[in-house]
Amino acid sequence: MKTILVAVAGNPNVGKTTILNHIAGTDLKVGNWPGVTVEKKEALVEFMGYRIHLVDLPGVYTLDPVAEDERIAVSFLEKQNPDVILNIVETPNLERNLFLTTELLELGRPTVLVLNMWDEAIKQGIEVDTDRMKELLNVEVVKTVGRTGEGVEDILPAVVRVYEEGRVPKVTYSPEIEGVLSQLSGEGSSKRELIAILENTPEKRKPVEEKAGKPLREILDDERYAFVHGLSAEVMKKRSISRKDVTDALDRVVLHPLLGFPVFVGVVYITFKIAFDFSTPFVDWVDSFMVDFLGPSAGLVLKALNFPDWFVRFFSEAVVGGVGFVLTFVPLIGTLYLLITLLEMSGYIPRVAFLMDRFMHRLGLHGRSVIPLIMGFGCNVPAIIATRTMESTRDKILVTMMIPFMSCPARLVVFAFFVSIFFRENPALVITFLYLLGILVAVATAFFLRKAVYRGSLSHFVMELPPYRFPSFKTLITITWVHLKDFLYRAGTLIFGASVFIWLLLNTPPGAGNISESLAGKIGKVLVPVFEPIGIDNWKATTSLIPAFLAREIVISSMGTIYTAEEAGKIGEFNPKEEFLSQMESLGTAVRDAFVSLVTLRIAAFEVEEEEEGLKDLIRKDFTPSSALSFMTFILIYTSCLGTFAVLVREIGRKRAVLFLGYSFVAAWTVSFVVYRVSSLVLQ
Amino acid sequence: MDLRSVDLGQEFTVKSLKARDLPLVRKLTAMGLREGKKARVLLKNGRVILLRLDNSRLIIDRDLAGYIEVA
Repeated sequence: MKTILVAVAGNPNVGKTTILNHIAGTDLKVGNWPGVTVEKKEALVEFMGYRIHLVDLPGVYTLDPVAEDERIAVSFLEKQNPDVILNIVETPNLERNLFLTTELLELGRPTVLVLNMWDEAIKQGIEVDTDRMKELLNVEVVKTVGRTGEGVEDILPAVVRVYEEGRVPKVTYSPEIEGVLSQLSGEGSSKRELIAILENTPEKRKPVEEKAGKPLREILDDERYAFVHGLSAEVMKKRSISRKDVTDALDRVVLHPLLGFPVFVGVVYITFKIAFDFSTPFVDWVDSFMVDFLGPSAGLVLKALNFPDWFVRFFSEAVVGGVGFVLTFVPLIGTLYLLITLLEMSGYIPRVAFLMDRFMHRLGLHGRSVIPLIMGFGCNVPAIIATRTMESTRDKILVTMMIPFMSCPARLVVFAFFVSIFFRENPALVITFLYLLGILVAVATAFFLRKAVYRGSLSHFVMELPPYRFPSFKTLITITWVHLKDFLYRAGTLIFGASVFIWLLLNTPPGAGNISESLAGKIGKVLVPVFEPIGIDNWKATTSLIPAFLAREIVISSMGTIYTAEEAGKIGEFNPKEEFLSQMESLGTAVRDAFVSLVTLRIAAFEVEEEEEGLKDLIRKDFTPSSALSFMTFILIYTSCLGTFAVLVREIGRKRAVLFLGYSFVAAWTVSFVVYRVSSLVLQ
Repeated sequence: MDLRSVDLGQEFTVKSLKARDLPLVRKLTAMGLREGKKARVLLKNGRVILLRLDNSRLIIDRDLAGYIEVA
């Protein structure tokens, strides 16, 4: 079957993703452009006997290969030689969009113009003569409404038509320029190629520049604008319709220097609340279903099939447990990604960028970085994924490397446990100190990175604010699903592998009765001298840090296992039928809790359950208040979270992620050292 | 005078753009901010300015606004 490679190009916010989503549905795939952190969306669909490969290019205004997104778009268009260019245009802003269209037409590839948001244009009294447009440009023109999917069905037939006819688009400039271009060699070259030849041939270029009294670039831009202007005048009619603009009215509040902040706090609060409280009951249920039901059930079956004991344990605890661990992220990432996509597509996130820029640019960051940073307080994993909405790679990397220091509820569990033992008098003070310390380390990290790696001033701020729009529910669901799938494939496999590895460390050699004799215990003992200077001087504490790399809160349960020397994962009486019924019952409770959480005001994710008293007594003997504070500081700063590490690998690459992990360890050690020494003086 | 000195709510016409070969200035032009275009300053917030231009709203920072001569 023949493949047609289609480049989907257009300005930002013209609805490219929505259109692509209507064409491809869940066949849409996300990934990164090679070597960069810019997101790439693509889809493969079969149509009329062709395999149509659609590649979504970054939203750009020009084909000037300077900014990273533009470089990606240009390099794809020039090097991959797409068979067809699908240019999505925002009809209400037709004239402005046509500048990019003109540059795309210069490439000489068969082109389909999609006049999107046709309904909005009509409301604004804008009419476009599409037949005339087709004739003038020798392209296909399709009218669509991205929100409803109206007209999208005409896109693929148009793609096939221009491809089969090998239609070369027409773009004509002034007779002077056309005359010069026609003298250049290069039979069958596209206009863009001829322009490049002209730019690189001084003897041809100079006379043109001298005659016009300006550089060739400016001459060409003026030619393009003249072409756009002429085309618009020919095909577009605008009746003036006086109507109230909802966007302007909303913006008067949302972007107001004072009123905007309560709105922002409200939006963040609601997002946070829904994302974390709604998903937590499901996270807990998935965890319990896998660990308490599926694991033991698998164990029973394997035992009945006479598999050796070590394999039964390995499969039911490590494999099923590992899969379960990956799945616990799904409700959280799904809910948060849905909300972030809703905020992005409705037009709110670009407004946050405007509103918060005043504060964030002091840190050398863009206003929009504030959202992922705040989300980090709920869970670092989806917060890092949320940096995908950021445009510049520099900002994305800076923010991604700040997020892991935002203290999440998993850390709060550890803090609450230690604080309840050592700082009963002023728990809030200690916990607030730790949260602020995290923010301080994040700011210091950004500062350090800006001085050492990402030098140069903050990038300029040029952005378009789209009007407020209701995104289609189908698009929201598909985009969330596509990202979840990507998480499961890429981060999920790493999380699974590492969690199996940690299980092996804790359970090897197979005969080891308790953790002291296991590989993990041995590593823990070797690590003691490393942690001694920061006040953690016994192997039980250092060993508990190994399983805690899965997730920080595990440090408490692993301390429970190590300190009380009970065997990990003992299987008690297990009745599959009863357990299944009880699991179904708790699923019902989870659904109820999730919805009930939506109507309460408090954020339940920040409430911590009390842990067992017996362990607290043992911990009291092994730690002092200053070593406890040092331990909490270490847990706060060191990226002891497999989920976070896996998404770091996915978002910023393996090398940077490993470097960051090392950095977080060194930073955690150093800050803990200072905290330990200073608090030893104060707290004695 | 350049765009930085335009007051809130005031309408202006773009007279010329300095450093037209600068990629960012070229981007501004492609976003519709060209000679002869009329626009209005909707809001200012710290270093950023919000403009209304035809059907679109543009945010640009003050440094960049310095490249835009207005009348």
